[in-house]
Amino acid sequence: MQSIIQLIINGCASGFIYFLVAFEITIIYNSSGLMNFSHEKFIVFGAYVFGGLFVRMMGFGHLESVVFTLIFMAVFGAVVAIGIFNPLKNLPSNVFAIFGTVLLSRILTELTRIIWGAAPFGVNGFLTGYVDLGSATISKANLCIIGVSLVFLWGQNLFYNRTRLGKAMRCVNQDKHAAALMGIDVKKCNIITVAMSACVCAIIGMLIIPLYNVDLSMSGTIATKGFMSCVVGGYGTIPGAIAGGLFLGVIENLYTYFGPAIYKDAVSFLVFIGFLLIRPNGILGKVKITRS
Amino acid sequence: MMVVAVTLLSACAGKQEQAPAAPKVQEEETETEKEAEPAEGETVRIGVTTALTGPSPLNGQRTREGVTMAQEEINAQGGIGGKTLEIVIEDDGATTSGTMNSVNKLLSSDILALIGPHMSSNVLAVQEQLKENGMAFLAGGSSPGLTELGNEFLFRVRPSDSLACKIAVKYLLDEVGAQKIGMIYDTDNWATSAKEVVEAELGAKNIEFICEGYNTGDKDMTGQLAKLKNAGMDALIVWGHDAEIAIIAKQIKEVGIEVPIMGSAGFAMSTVLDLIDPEVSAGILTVSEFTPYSEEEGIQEFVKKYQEKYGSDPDLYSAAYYDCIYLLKDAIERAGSTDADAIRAALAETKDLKGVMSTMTASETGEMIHEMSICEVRDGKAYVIQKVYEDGYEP
Amino acid sequence: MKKTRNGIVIGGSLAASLLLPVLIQNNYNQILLNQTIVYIMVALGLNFTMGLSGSFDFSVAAVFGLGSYTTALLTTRLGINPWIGVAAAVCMGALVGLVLGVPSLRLRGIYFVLATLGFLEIVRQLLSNMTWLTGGTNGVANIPPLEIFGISLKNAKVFYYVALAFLLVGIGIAYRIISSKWGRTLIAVKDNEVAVDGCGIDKASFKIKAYMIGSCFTAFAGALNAHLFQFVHPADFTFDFTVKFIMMLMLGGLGTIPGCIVGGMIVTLLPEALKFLGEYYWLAFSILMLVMMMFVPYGFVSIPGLLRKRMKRIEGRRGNG
Repeated sequence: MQSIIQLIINGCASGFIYFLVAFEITIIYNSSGLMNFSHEKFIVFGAYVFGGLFVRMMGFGHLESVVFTLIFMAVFGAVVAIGIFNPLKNLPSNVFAIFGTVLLSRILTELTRIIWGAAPFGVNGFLTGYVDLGSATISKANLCIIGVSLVFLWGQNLFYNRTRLGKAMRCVNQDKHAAALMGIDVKKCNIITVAMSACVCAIIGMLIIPLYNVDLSMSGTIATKGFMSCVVGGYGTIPGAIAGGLFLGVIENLYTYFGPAIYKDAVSFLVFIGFLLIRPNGILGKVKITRS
Repeated sequence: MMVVAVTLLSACAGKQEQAPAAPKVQEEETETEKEAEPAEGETVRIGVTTALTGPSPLNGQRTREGVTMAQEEINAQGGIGGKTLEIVIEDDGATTSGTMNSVNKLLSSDILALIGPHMSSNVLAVQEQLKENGMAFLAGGSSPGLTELGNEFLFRVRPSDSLACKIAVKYLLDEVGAQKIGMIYDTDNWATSAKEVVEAELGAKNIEFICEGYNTGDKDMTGQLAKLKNAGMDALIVWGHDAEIAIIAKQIKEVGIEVPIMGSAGFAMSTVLDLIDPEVSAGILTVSEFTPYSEEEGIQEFVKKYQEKYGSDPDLYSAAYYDCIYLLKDAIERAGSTDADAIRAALAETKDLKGVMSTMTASETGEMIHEMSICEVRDGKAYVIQKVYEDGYEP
Repeated sequence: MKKTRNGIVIGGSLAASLLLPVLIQNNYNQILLNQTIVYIMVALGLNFTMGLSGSFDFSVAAVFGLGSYTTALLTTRLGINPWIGVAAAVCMGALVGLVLGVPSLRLRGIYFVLATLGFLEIVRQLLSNMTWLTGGTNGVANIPPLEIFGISLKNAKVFYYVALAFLLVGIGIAYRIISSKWGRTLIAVKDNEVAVDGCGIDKASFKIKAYMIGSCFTAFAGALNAHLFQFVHPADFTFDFTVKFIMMLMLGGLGTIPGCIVGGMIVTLLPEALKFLGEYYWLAFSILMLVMMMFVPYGFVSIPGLLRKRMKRIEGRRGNG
């Protein structure tokens, strides 16, 4: 019984990480229909900027570094949107923009490797430590992730429903042309969305440093599972993202009780493929109106 | 468009200054381009294939630093048999296709011998081709299966895992008194072979053994660790590559495992230890052939030289491949010629050559290293607590 | 005018490709050329599944890998003649095409892309972990080389000519398919599915067949590759490997056959030419590709067209000015 509780807690911890990734995938997809394949490298880049640039090279404290990283990544996201995403989106097919993100991903990897070297490193004393919950333990980093996720869940609800910018983004999401006709600057919305997504990626990157260290491949599995969570929960919706993330996280961890843990990832994939084939609209089953 | 392609290709072809391709690789006579016969000339050329890019590029960097330092020292003292030592380094990216490419390239570059590949899986990919080309190579792969290939051109410059695992198990049984041993290991060829050695050893002594595997690149091993913990063991063996064992060390604490930990050589390396909080890594044992904090004769001198030159501590890769250059120097000088087969024969006769890392003697199956140390990690550094020699190779 | 110009280009290219091995001294470069030919074949296959359907197909590396493994396992475990191994790989390709083609009917857009991604990952995991069948992370070694009329293809130059012959045949087949009635209907399916439905054409069978043909090409190339390098390893068939082929199509020109050829050459050879930049070569290559994508999204083959338009515009202005 003990280990089942621990497994469920681990599952929730992973699930929230997947949710965060699914969240930033979803907001970009919702606003511009773009599958951002470079999001994984945004996460890594964010972690490196935090740990490598601000903490190590410039010697700032943890808190200041977090703030600087967020500003840096927001600007970075905007630049990428203006320079790469928007121009490519004007082409008739989405293929070009999506491929552009794939190329961007490789460029980011190389840049990161060249600037900071390829040796992994840690950030000392950042969110380290564990909390004992009686019959299970959870790391402080994971608690932080859960906390941040809840803040996001609550915040995005507020943002999209109450603020002008948020409502404008929802309009753009529903119908680009109608939104433009109503005087909404679609391009600006896209840029802001990408900047937001870049910030979320940076936050994810920073939060997983205590777990996985700053490393070029730190975000590999969670990025893929983030995509899968989107589909499993219901692609393109935020409630879907959280449902999918938690579902996937808990299922794959519970599985390890019954079978060899080495196939944990394969189990996630099977669940994902299963949903794709049988119920592509995901757990929440909301049919999303797709634009042609 | 084809014109573009042809231009590109001629550019590529022109860049290769080396003239004839390696023997046996091409049937026809090829024209020599520029330089005259290199081997009989003023330089002795050795090739190195290592991972300068890929998952652990630092290892490739340390390898390069080690061989370059040796090269400069040797050339400053007159070279090998009076000839300048030249080293050609190719990046194999730690992948099999990368290694096949780099080996192909090196075979066409007129080298006398090859250092590398480092990883056992890559050795498997190219050993046949190297044998056919009559090229002796000093491999770093520690998988026991390599020596069973019967390839007389393969020489191993790191101790076989069969030795490392036996030493590890012996320590756990004798010094720790374990009655039930658990093991978490990477499921690639290298670590799986290690697990099989441990399993066989413990089976022969009737000690209970449980194990869990994980994939290279996995980031979450808590499931496996929880299972091992619940099964109740007296000691845990951790056998894997750098990135994962660093994570495992952290997750061991998270899962609440408190028994002694014995790990593969990665735990003696600063690249791994720097990733782990010193509180977490304190007390971890490891079986390794090199640690920069050893008090042994010659090591501190080496460490000091290395720090002056490169500004960081040497690690296993630096030391092993530094020794390789001296090993080749010794063999070439004893062979008295640059004929590839003579070099191979000379290598096979290496005896009691003292290197920084260890004393090298060629066994029948091409193994060069026969000693290892048990180290304990304190304050994020690995210190030697026991030195062990392979049966028959005690000094 | 156009026909003679095309004729010159084709004739010239053919002559150049036949002469290349004679000019190349270095064996490494020769093997690089051989690899280019194999990769162009994959690009041709990918053209069927992706170029003509207009959406991403990430499963390429998996199909390639399955083709490689099929022939590798058959020839090393059962001692079967390598050519039969290659034929078996093609059959495997057809099977995989079927397996992928069916979901492509049900899943729209992004879901299908993700499904191909999932397929890639699962195949890689299976190849790595099913040690009893595939040798797992040991890979499969000592794959025998192909032999034709008693001459072994182990010699890189001989391999080149044989592979080139296959490539030319493949290009011929691809052209015939695309210009046939079947091929034109396939393109119609991509352009306007509703209209095609309205004509009463069973678009399902087209899509599935397109997938099967594409996968056959790719699996064949995979099998050749296995016999070229005589070693296969599951870690080679990654997302990055897939992206390599997609790059060939995007750079060369999506949906066109000359695009596959040009793209194949550039993506395989340009990084090698850039290696003089040392550790920056991969970054330089990636940036170059991105810039190309932004300015010439339809690939290299569209450049002559763009230039012609420019010329016409300039001449037009002069004429009126």
